[in-house]
Amino acid sequence: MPKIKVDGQELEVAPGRKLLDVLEEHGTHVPHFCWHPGLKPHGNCRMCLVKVNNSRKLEVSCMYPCTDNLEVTTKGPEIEAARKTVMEFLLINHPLDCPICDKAGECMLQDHTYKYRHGLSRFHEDKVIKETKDLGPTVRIWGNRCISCTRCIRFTDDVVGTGELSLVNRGDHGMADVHPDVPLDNPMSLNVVDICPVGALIDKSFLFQARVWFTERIETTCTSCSRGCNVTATMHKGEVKRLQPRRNDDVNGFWMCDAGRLDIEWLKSPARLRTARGGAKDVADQLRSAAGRVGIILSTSATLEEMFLAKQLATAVNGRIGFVSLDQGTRWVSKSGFAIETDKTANRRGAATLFGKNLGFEDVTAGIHSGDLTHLVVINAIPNLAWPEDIRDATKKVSWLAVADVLESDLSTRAAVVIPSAAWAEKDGTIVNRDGRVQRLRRLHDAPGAAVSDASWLQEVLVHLGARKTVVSAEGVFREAFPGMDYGKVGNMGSALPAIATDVPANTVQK
Amino acid sequence: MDAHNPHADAHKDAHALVAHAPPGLSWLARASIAAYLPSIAAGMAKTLEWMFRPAVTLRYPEQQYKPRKGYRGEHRLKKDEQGRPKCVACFMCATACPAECITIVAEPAPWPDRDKVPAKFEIDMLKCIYCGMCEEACPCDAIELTETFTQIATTRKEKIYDKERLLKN
Repeated sequence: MPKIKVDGQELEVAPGRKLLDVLEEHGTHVPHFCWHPGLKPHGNCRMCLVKVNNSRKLEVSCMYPCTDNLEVTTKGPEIEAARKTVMEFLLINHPLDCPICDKAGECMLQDHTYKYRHGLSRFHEDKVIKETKDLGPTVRIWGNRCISCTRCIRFTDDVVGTGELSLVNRGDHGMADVHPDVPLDNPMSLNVVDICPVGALIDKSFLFQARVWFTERIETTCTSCSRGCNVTATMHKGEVKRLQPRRNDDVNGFWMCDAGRLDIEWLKSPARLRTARGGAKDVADQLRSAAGRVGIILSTSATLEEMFLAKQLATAVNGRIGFVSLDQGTRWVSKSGFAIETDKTANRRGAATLFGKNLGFEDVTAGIHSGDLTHLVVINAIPNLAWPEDIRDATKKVSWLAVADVLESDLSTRAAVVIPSAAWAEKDGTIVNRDGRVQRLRRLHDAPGAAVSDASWLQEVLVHLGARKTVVSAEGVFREAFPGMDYGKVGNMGSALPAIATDVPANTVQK
Repeated sequence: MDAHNPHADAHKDAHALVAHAPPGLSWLARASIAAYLPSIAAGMAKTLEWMFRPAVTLRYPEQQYKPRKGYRGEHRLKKDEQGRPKCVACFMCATACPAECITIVAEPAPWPDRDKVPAKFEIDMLKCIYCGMCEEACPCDAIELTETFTQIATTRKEKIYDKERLLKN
C-alpha cells in the first residue's frame, strides 16, 4: 500500500488511485470542475492543481496516480495564483447572466468564483456568443455558459453508453452538443443537468420554476421502480419541483432515471381523488358484520407500515389478502450497470417479506367468484394502474366495495366507500427495494383535499374494530412491526431489513 | 442652586413677585402666582414668536405635498425602448426585500433576444416598508421607487399592485 503525505499528514491509499479521489475522500477539498466521482477523470479544467514532491510544475490532482512517498501540498501562494489564473480563463467567455440562470445558487463556477476569483476581468474583447437550443425532449443547453468540462459527454459515453453528446468546435468556441439527427434522448438523460458544473444544461421541466435559494431539500426515496433510488426532493411553496439523485453506492450510485424524476407530475393531476365517500367507521361496521367473508387487495407499492396494518386487518376480520402489482417494459441496464427495473412498484420485496413469495390476487378473486367472499377492500398506491379484468369483474360481483386509491378509476366510481389516499410524496413510511434494503419515504407536502395516508385510516378501522388501542404515526407502526428498530436506525441511506414481529395480533373483533 | 439652571432665575423672579404681591392674599394664592405666572409669560412669548414665522404645515389636500428628490414612494416597473418590461424575473428584489412583499412567477420570454420574463409580478404595498432595497438589488435597473406620495385604496386587495399597475406608474 503506497503511503502519501497530504499537507504533512500521512495517508495510506490503494495503489493506482488518483490523487483528487483520495483527497476528496480524506476531506481535503481541492476545487475542481471536470472531475466527478462517478466519471472517469479527464483533467481538462486545470482547476485541481496541487504541488507534488517529484514534479517541478503543478500537477492536476485528478489525473495524478498515488505512488509511494508522494508528498502533496494543496495550499500555498503558488497554487492560489494558479487557481486564480484558471478562474480568469474560465470566466473570459462565461456570460454574467447568473440572475436569469437556473443554476445560480448551486453553481460550482459561481461558488469557485466567490472563493478563488481574480477580482476584476482583464478581458476587454467581445465574448464569444454560442447558441441556446434543445438537446432533446428533456434538456436545453445554453452554449454561452458551457465551460467545456466534458462531464456530460463522459456521462453519455461511459455511464449510459449511448454517446449522444460530443464537444463541437475548437478553443473558446467549444461547447457540448448533439449530432443534428441524434437528440439527447436516453432513459438517464437528465443526470447531465445535475453533473453540469455550470448552468449550461438545464432541465426543461424545472426551467424558471424556482430560484434554488428559496427551496427546501428533503431526502426521500424514489418509488417509480423496485430499485428505490435515493433522491433529494426540491420543495418550493409546498410543491415538489424536482427530484435529484442522492449518492448511495449500494443502490443507485450517483444517478437516477428520467422516469423516476418525472414521477412527481401526477401528484398534481386533476384526476387525484380528493373527496371521501364514507369513512373508516363505515369500513369497520361493514367488515365486522362480514367477518370471514372479506377480501383485501393491496398494491405492492404500499409501504411496509400499510402492509403490516393490512395484515392486522385481515387477521382481525378473518379475511383473505391479495396483491396487485405492475410490471412494464424490459429491464434496461446502462453501460455502467445502472438498471431500471420492470417491477414498477416500490415495495414488492417488502410484501414478500411479510406475506411470503406468493403475491397474487387470484386467491381473493376466486373467493369472490365462488361466493365465499362478499366484501372487498382495494387499497392501491400505483398511479394509472390498468386494473386486471379479473379484479374488475370481482369488484362488480361483490356486495360491498371499498376503494382507497390515489387517482380516480372506474373502481372508485363504483365503490360504496371511497377513501382518497395520500401518494408517496404525502406520507411517511418505509419501502424495501429489490435487494432487501429498507429505505424511508418522507412526507414532502400535504395531500390534496381530504386525502389521508393509508396507514392512518387503516389504523382507524382497526380501532373501530377493537383490534388496536389507538392511532399512531407511521414510525409507531414501524416500531411495532420491527421491534428494536426505528426510523433513525433506518437512516437516510437505508439499512438491511430487520426481523419482523411474528406476533401479529390474533382475531380480536368484538362480536 | 445651580447657576446654569434657567429655573434658578425664575425662582428668584417668583420670590420677588411674592415679596411685592398686594397684601391680603392668602399664602396659597401667593404660591400659585410664584409657580405659574413666569411660565405663562414665557409661553405667550413663544406663541407670539411663532405667529410671525412661516407656516410648516400644508392645507392638504388643497395644497399638495411635493416630496424631495429621492423620496421613496410607490414602485414603478420600467420599460425598455420597445415598451417591454425591463424585468428579467431574476428574483433579486424578492431576495433582497426584508418585508417579503414581492411575489414573482417567471416564464420563458416570447422574444428571441430575451430568456426570462415575469408572468406575475406583485408587490403588497401594505407589507412594503419602502426601504428601496429592491431598487438597489435590481441588476437590470428595472424597478425604481417613484416620488408618488399618496396611495388610496378602499380594500386590501387593491393594495396588492400587479405587473400592469406597476408598469403604469
